[in-house]
Amino acid sequence: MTIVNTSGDAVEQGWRTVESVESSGPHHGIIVSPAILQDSFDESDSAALSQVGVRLTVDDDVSEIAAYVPHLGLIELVFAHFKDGRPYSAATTIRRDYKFTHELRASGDVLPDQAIFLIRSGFSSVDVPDQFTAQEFKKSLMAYSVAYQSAYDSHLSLIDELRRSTPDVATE
Amino acid sequence: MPFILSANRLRDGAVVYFAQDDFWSERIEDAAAVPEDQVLELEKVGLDAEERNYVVGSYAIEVAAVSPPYSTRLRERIRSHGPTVGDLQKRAAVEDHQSRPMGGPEG
Amino acid sequence: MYVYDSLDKTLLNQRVAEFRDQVKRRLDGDLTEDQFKPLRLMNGLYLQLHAYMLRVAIPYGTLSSDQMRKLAYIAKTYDRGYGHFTTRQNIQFNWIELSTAPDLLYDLSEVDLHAIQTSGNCIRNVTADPYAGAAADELDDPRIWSEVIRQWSTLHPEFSFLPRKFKIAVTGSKADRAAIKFHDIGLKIVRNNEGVLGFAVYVGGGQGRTPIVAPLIKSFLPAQDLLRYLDAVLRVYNRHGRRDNIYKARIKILVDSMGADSFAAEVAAEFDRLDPELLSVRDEDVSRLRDMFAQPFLRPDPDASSSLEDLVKKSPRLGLWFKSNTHPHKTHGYSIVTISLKPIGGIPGDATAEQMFAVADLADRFSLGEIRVTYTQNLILPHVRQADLFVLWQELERLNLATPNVGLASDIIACPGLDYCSLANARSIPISQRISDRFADLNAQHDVGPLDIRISGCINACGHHHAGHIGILGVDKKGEERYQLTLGGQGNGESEVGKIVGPGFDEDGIVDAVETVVSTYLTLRTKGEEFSQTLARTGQGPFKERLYDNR
Repeated sequence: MTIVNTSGDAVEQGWRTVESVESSGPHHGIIVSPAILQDSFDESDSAALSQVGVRLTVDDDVSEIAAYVPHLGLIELVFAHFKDGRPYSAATTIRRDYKFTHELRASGDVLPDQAIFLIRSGFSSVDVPDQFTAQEFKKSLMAYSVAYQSAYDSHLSLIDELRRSTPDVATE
Repeated sequence: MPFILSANRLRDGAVVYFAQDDFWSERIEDAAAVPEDQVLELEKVGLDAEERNYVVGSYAIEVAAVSPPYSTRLRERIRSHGPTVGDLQKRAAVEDHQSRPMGGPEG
Repeated sequence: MYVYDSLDKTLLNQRVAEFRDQVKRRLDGDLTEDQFKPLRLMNGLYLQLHAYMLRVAIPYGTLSSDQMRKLAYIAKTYDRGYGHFTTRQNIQFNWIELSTAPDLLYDLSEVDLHAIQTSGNCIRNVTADPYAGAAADELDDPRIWSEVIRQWSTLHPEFSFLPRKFKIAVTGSKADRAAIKFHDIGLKIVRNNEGVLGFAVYVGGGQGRTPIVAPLIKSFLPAQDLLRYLDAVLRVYNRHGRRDNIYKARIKILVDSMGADSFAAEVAAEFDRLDPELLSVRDEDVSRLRDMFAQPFLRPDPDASSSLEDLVKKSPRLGLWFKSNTHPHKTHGYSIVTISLKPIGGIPGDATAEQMFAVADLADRFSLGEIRVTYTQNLILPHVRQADLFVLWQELERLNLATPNVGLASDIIACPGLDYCSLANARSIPISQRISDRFADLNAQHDVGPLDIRISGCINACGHHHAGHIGILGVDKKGEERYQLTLGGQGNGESEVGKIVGPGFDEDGIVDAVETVVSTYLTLRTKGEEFSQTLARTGQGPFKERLYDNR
């Protein structure tokens, strides 16, 4: 299992997925389902929650764990199929509406060719599927140096600052 | 009724028919026909060729005659003869096939 | 016209390089067909019956003469010498090889053309009124706003894997020549009571299996909020659109099942959550685009009217052509000229490389180098001096591009159908050819008057049959081609879904049926009444009787 960051570099994993939680802590770096999160943790215990991640499938609704979100150390969004783009909008919502600033991870069925969409939608790491390599994700991330839209990773607007601050491009 | 195997070639999308061994032909006349009880094996040849990234979308076609292979489906006749538009001769050829009395399996 | 700057060019070059790499990985076996397919589709490359088909985007139907020349070159170099203009204002090449497609895209990029998002479940190429910038009834140039949308939607990180494809159309005129209510989003440029420019927003229209005329979701959206609102619509759709059934995945099904009011409320809530600054369309950006689309000054020609009278006397055929193939321009003494890609018995929308080269030259000589593509599969020269019409007409006649039939019986819309398309159930083009032959007499066509015949080879309705006065849908019935007849659709100006008349016909039968419908209209019509008006007055009854009673 390889995790890559927003530059496409492989990074230390640091988190493990667990299917149940012992009643006595402490819990370090565990990723749980929303049900376990709600059963085992207090939404106001920000110290404990900073060591906890939650794993959301495309059918989970982040609003159901809204109170937890700002305190969580990690949110993982699982792609059921690379053509099912719901997690892109979930990422936008989590970053923008819930002001979530910690690690937002994409996992499941993703393609290297989608890396740039993932990062620009607000994901900060990708769990690379076994059939692909970190290098393939990195290469894909480097495919584009420009974009039209503002995105989580940049605040360039539509017809962006690059264009605005470079008078010669308009006349080229 | 017998079956032949067709697909599109990956590199250029051309319609091809499995002839023998590793050979896929652009001519339906070269297609190898097998009896119905060998369709699974025929389809496996197609999947192997997909695996080798030589063709895509392989499938077996039931044919009403084998020399030359003749499908009762217009779609298959258009695949093998080309579009029926514009080129009047070609259009006539396909329509002629269409009105041709159906022959039984040959050979 | 819009001029690419270094950002546009950089992105396009990087896109070509990326696709070249993707094709190589596919041919080398590093990508499976399942993985590669959505990537090639996002570059407009389909695998059809006989070969790969490449759909090239023609942004909002606007082409320069140089771009048209490049399309001609592509047709000659990579295809079999022709191209097919589509009902989405695009062009398709039918005989493309995967291995050379990256070279083709590189060649296109030299004239700022591409195939980005002409397929796939993403925001497709934006379409617009083909008379943009030339029509007298225009409130604002829809190309300005279409270009804003083009940039925002290109490689959009969040909206590239939607439940289904997503089509946006824009019109700036009172007369809707872009069929906006048959789109996922239709935008009509309006002014509110204070004179502020904005849009009436229609969401959830479409054709296909479930034809729906889009309901009005917002009656006035200030222009500067355009992208913020589109962003909200797309997010609601991406979140809630169905993914379990391809036939229920379009936004029209979502809007229909939620109800237009609840849908609008959810979009409004999402809109309010969005940072207004981030997606605001700024005045200076709009003025920059406005300058690019502003046409050079055309000097009004006061003598034009009298010279026109002389003109139509020169030949009866020229008179017919002037009547059906030209439209008044906003500048006195100029005309908008439609180049018919519907010769009698021809293939609707097809043009040869030679014709494309020639049209490019004619655009340079007579229309400031500008060409438009219509969703009715014709071409347009938008700014022609009326004093030049005679010479232009002669040139077009020589090229077999002056059939005087625009808006008439032989101006048939047809999808590629079973002759090319892997989704089709029946052929479309040969049916259109036979109907066109049946109505070969152009004087008679002019006597029949406006008539909109549309043919689709399957329920996906690329031939817009639901919206034709006479619509024909090809189906497969136990291995035989059958054709269903619908009457009463409207896709030009008004938006109306036609209704099936009765049992379907075979190939010969459908051609006869269309003739029967037209002859029935001729016996029923009152003076000056057009086909659609007669049908609206009488209903389908008398047509049904004539079609089925003698069987």
